[in-house]
Amino acid sequence: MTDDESAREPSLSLRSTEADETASSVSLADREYAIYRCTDCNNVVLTMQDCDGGMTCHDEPMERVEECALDIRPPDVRQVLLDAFGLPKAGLDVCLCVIGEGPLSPSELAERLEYDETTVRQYLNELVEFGLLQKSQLNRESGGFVNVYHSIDLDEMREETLVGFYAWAGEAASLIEEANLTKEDYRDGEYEDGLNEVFWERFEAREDS
Amino acid sequence: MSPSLYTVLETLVDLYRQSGDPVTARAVAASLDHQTVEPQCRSLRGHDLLEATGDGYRPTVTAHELLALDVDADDVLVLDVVDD
Repeated sequence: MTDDESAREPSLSLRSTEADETASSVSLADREYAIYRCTDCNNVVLTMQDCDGGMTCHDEPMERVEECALDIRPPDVRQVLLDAFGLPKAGLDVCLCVIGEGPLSPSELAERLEYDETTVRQYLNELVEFGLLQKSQLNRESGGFVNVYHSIDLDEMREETLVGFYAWAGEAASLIEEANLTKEDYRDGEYEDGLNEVFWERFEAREDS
Repeated sequence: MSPSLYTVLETLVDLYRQSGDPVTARAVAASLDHQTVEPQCRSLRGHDLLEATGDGYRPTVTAHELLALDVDADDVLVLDVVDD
């Protein structure tokens, strides 16, 4: 890849610039987030803001992790929203289209997005359940009502989505931790099946429960 | 730049409260120093926020309830009129 191509693909900045990716490591020093590890108990934390220049674990300063030995794939925003929040592209389109457009009817919104009106209504309600929109009901003089969909406060939205994502990331981290423990158990136990079979059986049993 | 639907609605409601009489689109346009707000008034009528009378428009109960919501104008995104 040339320098020009690298400049056009900022998402690749997460990857190593070394040619040999098998021996690469990713620099975390200049990211807007920070990862810290406790040198005592192996706790690892992710922060979006450094408070007073760092983090502590049992009152001791944590060490900022500067490099990641694994080759990280840059996340795709659509995949992140789908995996973490179950929000497909159509739901995001509805959310993005309505912001700044002024009040629209569901049919006007459907026309702009070239979606079916039923789909738009479905995602409006899902966005309310998800917490990105709020819904109020107003009375009509001739009977019936008017549903008003309005966005939540942007600061609140920022915090809620970040907390929600961290909760999802925590669940994912627990799975990774469990996978590592499974390997450790296998090494210490006397299993007849291969590690791959033990590994998937354990996770399938977890999903079934 | 055309005034937003919400601005037109707020202005019309203010004028209606001052006079107690239906308000014409022309009066709203003059108050906003704009040539015409007839398209916005038609759209507000479609959202069931204005009622057309022979002498202009009057805000509906729905319009008063909408303005009473503790919501910023820019945050009102979709209005879905549901019949009984």
